[in-house]
Formats: sequence, C-alpha cells, structure tokens
Amino acid sequence: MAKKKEVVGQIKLQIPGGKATPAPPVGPALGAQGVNIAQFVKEFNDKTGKMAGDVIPVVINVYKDKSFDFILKQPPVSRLILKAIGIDKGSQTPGPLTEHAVITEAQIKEIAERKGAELTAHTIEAAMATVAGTARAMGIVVKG
Amino acid sequence: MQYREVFCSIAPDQEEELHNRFAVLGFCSYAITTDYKTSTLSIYAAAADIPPAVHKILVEMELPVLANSDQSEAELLAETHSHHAFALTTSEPVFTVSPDQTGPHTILIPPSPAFGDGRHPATRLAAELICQAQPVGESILDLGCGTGILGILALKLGASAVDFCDYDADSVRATGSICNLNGIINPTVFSSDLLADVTQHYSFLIANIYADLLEQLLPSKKLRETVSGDCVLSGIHERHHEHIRTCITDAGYRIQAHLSEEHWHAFWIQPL
Repeated sequence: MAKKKEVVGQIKLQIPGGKATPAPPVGPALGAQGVNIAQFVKEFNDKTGKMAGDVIPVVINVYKDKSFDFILKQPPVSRLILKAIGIDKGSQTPGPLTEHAVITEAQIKEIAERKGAELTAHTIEAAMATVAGTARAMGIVVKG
Repeated sequence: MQYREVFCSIAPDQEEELHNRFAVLGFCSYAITTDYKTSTLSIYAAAADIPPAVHKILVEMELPVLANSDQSEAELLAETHSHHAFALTTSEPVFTVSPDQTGPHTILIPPSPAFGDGRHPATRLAAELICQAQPVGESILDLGCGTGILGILALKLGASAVDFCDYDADSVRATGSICNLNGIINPTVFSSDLLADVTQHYSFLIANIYADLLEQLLPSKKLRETVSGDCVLSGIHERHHEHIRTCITDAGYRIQAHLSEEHWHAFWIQPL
C-alpha cells in the first residue's frame, strides 16, 4: 500500500459553483500554501459546473510535496435556511426578521438530511435541533 | 483592484459559526487556513475596506485583527504565486533597459500566460543587477524564467549562452516563442522544479523566484555543483529579506549589491 502522504496545511474556502478564479481569496490563500492555483481552479470548476448558483464550501488538503486534493461540502446551514425560505439576508440584529421569516419543520428536516454527516449530530432529531438553533439565531421563527 | 487583507487567529470551534454568519451575509471573500494546528482567518476585501457587517462579526466573536495590509491584486498574486507563473496582463509589450555602457536594449514581451513583463519591481530589480554585473561571456541559467525576459536581457548584454528553465509548462512555451520574437533562434528551454532536472554547468545564475524557493535553493549542494559563479536573486518580499540575507551568508556567498523597490528586494551575490 502506498504510504499515506503528510498533510501540511488545510484551506477552507467558500466558492460559487463553477466560478473559481485566481482572484482573491482563492489565489492568495492557495498560493501561500504552494498549491498550483490554475490546476485547482480548473478541477474545481469541472466538478462544480453543474452547481452554479450555490456557494460551495471546499476543504483543500495540501501535502508536503505541494500536491493537493479537495473535498466539496454542502453549503453552510444558514445558507440552506435562507434558500429554503426564499430570502436573501438574515437578521443583522437579534429578534425576529419579519413576520414572513418562518421555517417549517419539514424544511428543517430537509436541510438536516442534506447536511447529514457534516453535522456533529448522531441522530436526525439532533441534527434538526442544530438546524433549528441556527435558524433562531438568524431571527427566523421555527413553526411546528 | 486594491484589496485589504486582514488576518485573525481563530479557535477550531469558531469555524462553523464564522462560516454560518458570513454565509448569511453572502460574504465569501475569505479563507480559513490551518497550518501546524493553528487556524487563521484571512479576509480579502475589495476596494480596500472591510464591509461593516463583517467587521461587526469579528468584534462580536472577539477576534482581534493580527495584521492587515492594502495591496493590489497583482501584488497579492505575485507575492503568493511561488510555484508557477501567473499571467499579468500586458498592455505595454516592450521592456527597455538602458545600461550606461551598452546603450538601450529593448525586449518584446507580448501578452502570455507567464510572469515577467518588466512592470513588477522584482523583474526590474533583477534586470538592474544583471546590468551592473555585466555578464559578458558568461554561461547562464535563467531559473524560473517566466517569459524569459531576464535571460534575453543577459544575452543582449553579451552573455555567451543562456539556458532557460521553469517549473511551469506555460512559461516554457512562452519563453520559446518570446526568444524567437527577440531574434534568439533555438533557445534551450526546459522544465525543472528548481535544479532537480538541470544537468549542465553554468558560470552565472539568474533566479527571480520568490523567497521560499531561494531558501531551499541557497543551502543545496546542487547549487554549488551547477553554478560556479555569481547569482542574481530576486523576488524577495521585504518580509523575508533579512532571512534570505542570512541564508546567503550561511551558504558561503558575499553580497555584491542589494537593491530594493517598494516592498521587494534583490541581491547580486558572489561565492567567497
């Protein structure tokens, strides 16, 4: 078996699907770790071209020989919540957003399932509680 | 485009909250880098200003700003792109130097996906030192040649031969065609990661390749085996220049000349 390569750095970025460019933050963040930026940009855009419109979190592992690989993740919970209820921005101040900022239990379940293993929760109920907590922190009323 | 670059040190358990809160704002222009078990948040704010809502999150999460700097996009990219060339758009395709002794030399640099069109201080500083060193009759290796601009200059100044090498395939291709455009027929251009694939011997080295690579290159035995004489080193950001100075002395070289411009430094060194 090949020897496991040593990870020397990890970079986490949020990039719109299919739209990575060498402009900041991608270029400087990757360049500082010695990653081949052009290669990353091409591979990321190839893999995420179909996800245009979503902001995709990506975790890039950088190895000692400057080679890299990356893992695509689900968008942050807060982003999924906003998408589910169809509004652009969360509350800038604590308290309810507007009377329309309501999320249903079904929508929370859907997000919890989509996010799945990325949440630290062991059960779907615990995952839903995490999602509901994030929604409340954003000033969104949880119904049901 | 000017960017403000801001760094904060963060704890691992703050990452998820940061991702969530930035996502609510639709703010993506940041990176979290984990290096030797410490995590750093870097924010790149266009127009050299951090959005107030982002600043508010930093204050609320008690994340003090460790450092910040304002840089243009080209500077940010040039500083960090250490392992391959990157295209800087070229609107002035001519690079001219006028050393006192030999009159003006003009090099044609068309737009290409390679680094080095004479507008970056690192290139200009190296060019100035090559002019000072007068490499007449030298056999030269241009390591990290990019567009080939510095090696072409050395040939125009009277070097007997220049071999070009670069880690990046685009640069190897660009150098070949730019040499031809400047009247250099059949140049030797090859790909090499630092000196790994260099087999010939040279009397002079040009290396405009960024500090972290110079740090690897200077102490290596291969450098002394490959290059018997002077070296012009450039691409050294002011952050690293004291360290590179130490590396030069430790490797058994004497500094013949040192130039700096804006944040960039370059050295002409001679073996003791």
